[in-house]
Amino acid sequence: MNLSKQQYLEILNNSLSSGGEYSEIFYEDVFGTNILYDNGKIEKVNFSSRKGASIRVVSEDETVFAHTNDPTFENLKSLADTLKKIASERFNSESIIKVENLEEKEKIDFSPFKIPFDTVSIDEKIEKVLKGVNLLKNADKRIKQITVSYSDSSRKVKVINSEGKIVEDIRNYPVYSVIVYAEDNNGNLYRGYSSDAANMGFEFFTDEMIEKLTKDVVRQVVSQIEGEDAPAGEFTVVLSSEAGGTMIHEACGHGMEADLVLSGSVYRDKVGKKIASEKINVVDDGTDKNKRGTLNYDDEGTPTKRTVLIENGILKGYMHSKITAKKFNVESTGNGRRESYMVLPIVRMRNTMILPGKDNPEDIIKSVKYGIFVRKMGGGQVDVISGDFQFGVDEGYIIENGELKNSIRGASLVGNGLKVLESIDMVGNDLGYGVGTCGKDGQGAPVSDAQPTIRIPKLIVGGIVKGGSK
Amino acid sequence: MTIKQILDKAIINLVNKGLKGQINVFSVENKIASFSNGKLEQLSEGEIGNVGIKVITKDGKTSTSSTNILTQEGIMQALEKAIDMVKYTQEDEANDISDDKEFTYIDWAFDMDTKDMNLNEVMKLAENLEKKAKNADERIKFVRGAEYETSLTRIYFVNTNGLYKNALFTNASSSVSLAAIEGEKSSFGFDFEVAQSVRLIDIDRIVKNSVEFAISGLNAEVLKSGRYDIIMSPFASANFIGTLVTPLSGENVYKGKSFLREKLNQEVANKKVTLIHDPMNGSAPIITSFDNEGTNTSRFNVIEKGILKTYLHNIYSANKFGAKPTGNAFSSVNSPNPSIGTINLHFIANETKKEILNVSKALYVTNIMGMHTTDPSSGRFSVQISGRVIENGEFVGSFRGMTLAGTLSELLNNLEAIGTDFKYFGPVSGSTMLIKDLSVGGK
Repeated sequence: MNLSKQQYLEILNNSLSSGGEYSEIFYEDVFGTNILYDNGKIEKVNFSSRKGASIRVVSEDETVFAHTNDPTFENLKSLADTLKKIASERFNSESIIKVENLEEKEKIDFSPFKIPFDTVSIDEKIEKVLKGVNLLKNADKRIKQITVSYSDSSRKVKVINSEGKIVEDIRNYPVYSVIVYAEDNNGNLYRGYSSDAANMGFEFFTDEMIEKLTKDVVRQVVSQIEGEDAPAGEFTVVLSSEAGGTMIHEACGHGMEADLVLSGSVYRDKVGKKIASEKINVVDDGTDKNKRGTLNYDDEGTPTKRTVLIENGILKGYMHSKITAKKFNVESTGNGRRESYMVLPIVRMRNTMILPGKDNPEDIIKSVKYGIFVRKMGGGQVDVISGDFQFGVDEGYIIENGELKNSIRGASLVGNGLKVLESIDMVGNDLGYGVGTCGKDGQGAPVSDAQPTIRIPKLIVGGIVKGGSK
Repeated sequence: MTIKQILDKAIINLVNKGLKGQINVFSVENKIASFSNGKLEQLSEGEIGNVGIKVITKDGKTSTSSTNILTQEGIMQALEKAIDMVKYTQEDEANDISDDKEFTYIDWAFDMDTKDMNLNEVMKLAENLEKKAKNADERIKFVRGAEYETSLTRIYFVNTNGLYKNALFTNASSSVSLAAIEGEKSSFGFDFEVAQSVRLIDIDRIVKNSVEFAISGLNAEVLKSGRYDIIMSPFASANFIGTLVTPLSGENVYKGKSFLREKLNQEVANKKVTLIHDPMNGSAPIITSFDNEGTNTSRFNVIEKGILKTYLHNIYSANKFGAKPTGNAFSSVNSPNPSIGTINLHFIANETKKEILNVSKALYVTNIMGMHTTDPSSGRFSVQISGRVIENGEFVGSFRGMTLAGTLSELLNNLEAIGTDFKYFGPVSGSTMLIKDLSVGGK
């Protein structure tokens, strides 16, 4: 979509001509390749592409929206006409805003990349898949199936808005994941999973990254084969920095997204109040170099930044889009993101983390008489109203008298975000990242999260209780 | 040029190159309105489309591509991409396309009122839903989202065996999520309905269910760990049934990734359990007479009186097992190349909800968090549950923040009663269900 500034102005002004305080054209062009090794061979190769544009007009708290997959000047003008008509019925049209000029904003580069995906042959991409496969083939004789997945996608976005800005950004999303299925002597199956991702070019797929993932996944599946059913009940839990930051993402992050605060999140009306242990500092950083959640500009054209959420246990603020920032009378923090041009932006996390503290990770384990050590977390979910969360444990161990003992399987951790933040009493001086795609309101967003090793004195572990029913 | 003409041209292109192939086209016109805390949060009308193309060489190499550009140029470009990439995969003679030419077009799920409802009417319904939810109880302090949506979907399928199948159907859906607040206590509530027609959506029922959900959670507490009898609500049981789709997939079974492998014709569930795939159930919101590989669908028992009768097959897995495809290759506008799935997978009912709730003691689970973390290869799960405590057929309290852990095999074997109060969720349908003696973690 390369229209002239005059054409953009015409579309924006047309969309605002029946009222509305803000209008925006959002364009995207996405393409990507997926390669799947499964069942002993390169089984699937897929290429996908998507392009299109949308316009939204916002007045006070209300929004009207329309989109097209054929963003010509004529089609966008037609969308603007449709919105103008709806706006004339919904909005107060006493004063009409007119956009006079558009200025291209400077390029920012928190996610530099060297090798664009479309300059790399499929053969070279397949080579990366086979590197992982070959490492896994002889790793453990109990492994019966190997699945290795390569994925890349490049998303170019352009935002032209009634604030007079033209913003362009490009996001490159490489993902490498490995799954192994192993069988014990009794024919029971176990699954191990590990993945890594970023916002960078093809140079992401290094041998070191692939070697690390394959080692992780083998260790994880072996820990399950050789493990015991997890116990159920309340325990002291140590979350390793290797566990990733699922807990900070699920248990705390979502509740600090301003749209959810407006919907009654457990963190409402708590800015300036102590909500966590003094050892806890939490940020959501859109500028963390080349991380999966990093953006130069968000999908509303706002530059991203490092947003402090909790400082020494005090809640400092929320994450905002343009819409929520206006309602809170603050500036947007650059957290307005959307899955595609077909949907409206909502408040989303980027790279969310608990910052490192002062405790030695080994001392944290040594301090526990009996508890659970979580080395790898799985997926999770949260109820943002109450702050209750659940996440799976992909790799965990019993701690007894300060030492790691047998591994456990089938465990999950459940708790309440606020209560956990208050209760964390040891924070390690390390930091480990996890990556994922966060789902909210039916939209997926690439994110990462991170945390140091932490100790939670009391947390419910979901495991197996023996005996008859009550 | 019509879509059919563009697709014919693409198919001729494949045939001329000596390739097999299939193309799915999805086009969805939708109208959406959502209100939040008294304000119109979104009002939109638009059309989204997607094309999924699969190419197969004579020796069974295969590749796929997709594009959202539904023009001749867009579809031809995507076709060329798939053709370019097919050489990179490996031979597998099980890859094939359908020759299921007999096809009856079924329009049971097309409703003119839903198609013709204008955006203003959709907006009024969403606004009304939001108001009713907000005013239902003084403890409802926030309505996060009250949404109403109508859609008209067109699907076109063609392949190089000369198949052409199409479908046209309407859907209406509505949902509300809200928060009950009382002092320092807060609780989430949610409900939704999906149907073929706007006439079948009951806004008052959605409000009643979501408000009850939220209010009952205000005084919830964590109970002691132990083994409990569990009654799942239709929403919770649909979550559970949804986790069975992956281990029942013929592809996963063939690759040895399912705990149900080598279990065909064996007892995998309680004798009271019959699991049926029912894609032409006239009362369900989605009905289809063909899958997205062009195979005609049919109604069949997956589990019959506890015995596993079949896996869910697409053409590939059916060929690997020497079976016939079961018509379970499904795709959607968001993901237009098919994989194994279901439409209206549900258990056959054997009791009423009232009879099931009339127990001496059980936990009535209204919400499950994290069911998606279930391991389909081992069937192990460990999830969070919340809901209400039943004693002597009465609700006597509420619980939350507890865990339910075990295996899918254990759930199937301990499943004692299935209610008649079905709630459809597209791929699956849940109803009130009693499952005996499960492990629950708490204090």
